Amino acid sequence: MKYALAFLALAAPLLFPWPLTAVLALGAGFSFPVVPLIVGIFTDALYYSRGAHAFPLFSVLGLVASVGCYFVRRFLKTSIMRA
Amino acid sequence: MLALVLILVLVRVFLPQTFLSASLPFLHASNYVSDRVGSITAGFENARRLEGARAALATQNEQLAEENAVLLAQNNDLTALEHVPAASPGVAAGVLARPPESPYDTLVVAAGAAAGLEEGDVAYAASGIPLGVVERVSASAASITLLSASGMKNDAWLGALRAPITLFGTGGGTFIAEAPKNASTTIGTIVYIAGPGALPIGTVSGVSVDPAAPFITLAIKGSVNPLSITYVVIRPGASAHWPLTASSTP
Repeated sequence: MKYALAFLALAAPLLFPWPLTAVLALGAGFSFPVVPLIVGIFTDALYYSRGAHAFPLFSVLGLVASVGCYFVRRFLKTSIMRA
Repeated sequence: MLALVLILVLVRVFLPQTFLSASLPFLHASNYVSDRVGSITAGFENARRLEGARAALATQNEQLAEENAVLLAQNNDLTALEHVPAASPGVAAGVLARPPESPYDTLVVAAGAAAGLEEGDVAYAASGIPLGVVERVSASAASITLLSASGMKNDAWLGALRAPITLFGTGGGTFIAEAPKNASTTIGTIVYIAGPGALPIGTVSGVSVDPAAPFITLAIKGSVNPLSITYVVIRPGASAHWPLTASSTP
């Protein structure tokens, strides 16, 4: 299931509207924290416009989401071990 | 996984067109499936078919009205000018990705350097209304930044008196602009983009008045809906009129 979700998130920039892509990337991020970053870079590689935007927003958001997912995942793992 | 990210970043930085070229078959497949699903579901009921035909006629009617407005504006300008060069026929290119798949208000089209496209070429709708500027080109695909992209700034004219305004893109085919309080503007006033002649890029869809401000803010709906556009015509050599200009919105 988690592999299917990660695959869907990685393919989402080609298939789905970006809000759904963001949700899928976040969902997959809890299993594989690096997925939001990869999806962000991929989205920017396909669609980013240098002329209209100062910086690649989705790569930055992907990085933030990946770091967040990593810490949430680590916190949850630690909590389960303590319990 | 981190090695994969590193590879992605390196490819992104040093070979930026690789992603566009590599994604092309998937975008083609996605578009094909979307078209097939659409035609299958449309064939279920008579009512659905009639609804489709009605929508197609409405679209055609809208397109004809836009073409009419373009021709009228061009006719007015040509009577005042002499020696206006004819527009080149351009390259017709199918749209593979559009908003909302694209979060930056860009289109990915199935024509690239092999078809003669270059950075800075201008993309038009079928009715002749300018849509955006080609920003990146690979061998068989190109990325077009829409004039309505958030952060884009363009000179335009308002209404029959052609009052000069500046359009600020707000995404999804919409714009905002500021006009003097004494400008006679109502909902439905046509906005023309400043370029070769006057091209009707949209209509005023809302006017907001702040008593403390010396100007009014206009909400402008683009004539062409980029969310449903299926192909564009790309012509070279006109990007000087619509340079890619990032700017702060008012």
